Amino acid sequence: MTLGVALVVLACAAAAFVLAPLWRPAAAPAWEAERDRLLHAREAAYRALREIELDRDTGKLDEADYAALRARYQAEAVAVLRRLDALAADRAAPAGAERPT
Amino acid sequence: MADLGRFSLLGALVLALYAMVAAALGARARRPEIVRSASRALVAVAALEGVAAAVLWTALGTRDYAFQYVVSHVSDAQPFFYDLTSFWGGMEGSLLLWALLLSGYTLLALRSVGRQRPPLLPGLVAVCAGVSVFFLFMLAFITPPFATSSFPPADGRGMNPLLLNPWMAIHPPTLYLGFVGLTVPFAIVIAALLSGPSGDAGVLLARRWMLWAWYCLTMGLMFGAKWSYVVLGWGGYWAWDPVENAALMPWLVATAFLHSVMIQERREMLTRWNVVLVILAFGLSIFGTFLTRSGVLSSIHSFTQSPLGAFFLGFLALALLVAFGLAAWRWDELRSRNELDATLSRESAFLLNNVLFLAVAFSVFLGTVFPIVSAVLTGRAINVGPPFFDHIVVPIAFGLLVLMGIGPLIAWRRASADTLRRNIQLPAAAGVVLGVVLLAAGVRAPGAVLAFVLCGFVAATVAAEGVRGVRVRRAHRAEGPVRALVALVAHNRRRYGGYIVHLGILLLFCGVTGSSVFSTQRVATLAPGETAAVGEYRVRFDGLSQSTRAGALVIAAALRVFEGTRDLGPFAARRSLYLAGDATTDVALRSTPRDDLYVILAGWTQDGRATLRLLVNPLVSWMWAGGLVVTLGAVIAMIPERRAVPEGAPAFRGAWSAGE
Amino acid sequence: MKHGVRRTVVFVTGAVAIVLSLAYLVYGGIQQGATYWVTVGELEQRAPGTATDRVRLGGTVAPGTIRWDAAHRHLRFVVTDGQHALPVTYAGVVPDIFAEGRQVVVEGSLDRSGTFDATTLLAKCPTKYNPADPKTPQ
Repeated sequence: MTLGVALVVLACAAAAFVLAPLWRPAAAPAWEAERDRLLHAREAAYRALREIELDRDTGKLDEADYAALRARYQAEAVAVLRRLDALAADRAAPAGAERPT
Repeated sequence: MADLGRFSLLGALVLALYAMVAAALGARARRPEIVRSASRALVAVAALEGVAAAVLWTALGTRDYAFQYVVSHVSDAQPFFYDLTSFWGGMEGSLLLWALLLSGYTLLALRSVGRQRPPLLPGLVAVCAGVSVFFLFMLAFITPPFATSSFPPADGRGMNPLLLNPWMAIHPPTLYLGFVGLTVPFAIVIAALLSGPSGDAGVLLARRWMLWAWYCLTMGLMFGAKWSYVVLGWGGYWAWDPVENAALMPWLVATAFLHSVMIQERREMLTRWNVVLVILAFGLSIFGTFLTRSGVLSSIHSFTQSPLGAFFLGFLALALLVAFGLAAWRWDELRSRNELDATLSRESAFLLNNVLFLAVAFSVFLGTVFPIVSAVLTGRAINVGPPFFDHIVVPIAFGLLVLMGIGPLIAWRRASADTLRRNIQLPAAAGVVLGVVLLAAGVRAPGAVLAFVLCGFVAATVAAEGVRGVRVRRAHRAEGPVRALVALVAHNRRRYGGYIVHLGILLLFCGVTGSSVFSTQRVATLAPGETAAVGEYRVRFDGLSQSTRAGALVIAAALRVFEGTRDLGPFAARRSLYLAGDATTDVALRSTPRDDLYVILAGWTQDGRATLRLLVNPLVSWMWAGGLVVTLGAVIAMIPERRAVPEGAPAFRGAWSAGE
Repeated sequence: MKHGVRRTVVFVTGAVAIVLSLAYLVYGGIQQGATYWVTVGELEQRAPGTATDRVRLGGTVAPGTIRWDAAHRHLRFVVTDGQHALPVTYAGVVPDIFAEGRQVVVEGSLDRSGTFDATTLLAKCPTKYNPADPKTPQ
């Protein structure tokens, strides 16, 4: 008997937990998620820059290849940084717009 | 309480099914709230599996013999610690452990991938849920852990005493962390293939998870070898047994992947190849557990007839079909952006590395399933034993060793033969010097000398890499050499972590060579006071004694070891005889960096004489040391980046101040 | 274009070389390590006085048949598959799991006297699932 009650309670709790999001409208993806994603991308680009520099310095990469790869990774890093700046600007702007002028 | 366990698993199965379907529907209909519901369902699955695990552990801990599983694995005389670890000592419990670990990994992956690559989330949920569905189905219907009997016995049988050993307690969970861990990279890659043309097919995201699973497999294999060496008492650590091979195959594929992924990162090549490797690794983990459980290979007249094997094979076939089907569908989009530029390049060296690892994996696979294949093809089952594996694996391993040395010396895209020749000279000389030293010291076995020479060569190349890196650092800033080395490793963790792992593998290689080639054995029946000589040691037998411990009769042979005139002290070899007829061996083991003295009490006579098997295994401790070094290297490689900005990169204009 | 063709040739040659080497190794490995599986019945029905090559045999240890000579480390027992039985001798390390009624795999050859001379003895745990197959090769 007590087991039956416990199971029903458990089942209801699980159902409530699982089905709850269906009634809440989809919120816009949190900006933290986008920021974290961009930060990871930035780290990857920086790490790549470090690695190719070490490769060039230890003779595993010749100057021409190094220059080409460096340009590529820097372009990636710049793109990510621009997106991060835009994200920050978006965050700042709505708050600014709410203030009465 | 058994009902609570059963219903938890059933509920988990239902929720996992829901999660799989909801994730698919939510992705299709572009309704993120449905996908969120699916994620939550997987959280609930984890919670319910936790409840089931708690039920089983409580039953094991309280020795509740109403449960059949408890009766088979626990007894009143068994130490409490092993009562708890018997959770994974049997079929049902180990499947529950698998499901539990899968849920744990799933939750971590959901959080991590949700942050780094949100578009992959629905696919990740669907795949992890799908795999969970299979294991929960097995647990709910085919191999339920909560079977009870109406007439519980007064005492349980307990586990086989060979399993009552700390190494055996830790070996399954570690190995499972590896096996199950291969599911996450698989799920990431499948999710990427499902979610549309994506540059890297999720491979680069999956890399870190593969590294972790690879590390767990490495440790699992080492723990198993250590157990085999210390407990089974045959003097060896690896027998090319199907169960051992089952864990080795995914490890080989994962190792290949960890190298080829670097090519994909740097040159955007080999994406298809890496996708195949990830799918293969997962497939081999399922195949491995199938081999271990279904008993299909213990004998061609299978000792255990159970439908279990059929289910695993069915699931494996389905998973591979879906995975390779998806890969085929996206094949064109995964085309490499670049080509192999030159025959002598780091890319081609890594490619050769992959080919060799896959060749070993294929040969191990072939040797393992040979009885089945040959029975199907020729009507007679043929077994291939250790000589088959040794004959194939050893030459390839030598090839890999050479590559390990010259790989780091070869440049990307196109290496100049001159530069390579220049960089090889010093390490090659070091190897040759080592060879000369060994030959002068009287070492004659050519294979062993070659192995040590190559290890010396590779070690020298790693050292040279360290020196080169330190020199580069010190050219840019004033740092002492030690500080520069530490900073070099800290700032290039993946590369130098990898080099340290290579050093660990070298130690392992030396240990295996030493103990395989230079091991000596003697068998002697001695009366008390008599001495047997083996290698550099003399072992004196001082008499038998009898005692009881934990429900077993323990016969011990007191021994004393001498080397030359030095008395190295007493040690004892024991055999424990259990009531149920089982026996275990306590090896008398004296380990030094130079060699292991390994004595087993093989038998005794009524008049107090003991039959001893004495072995001297050189360099075995180097193997275990290698395991520690591999751990150090893997940990270094896995430390995530701090958010530091290197010089020369575009400055990060303060994003959190009010914009410009 | 010529450069590309040359490179393809190099890689194809390399691939063929690797495949052939592997095939050669596999073939050699099979020569060295292969043994046929046989049943107790097959061996028992051999004409008496004929010996066999190395084979592998699976069966159960018949109860009451284990004879262990501690002084010479010599083991004798009878292996059976339920219907046929065969005497076995073995002079090596006996696995801890070896006992009456347990399943064993022996590798060796049948000698002229109809006794199976085992060089390898592997024993299997009676439980349905053992995380590691305890074994003792010779």
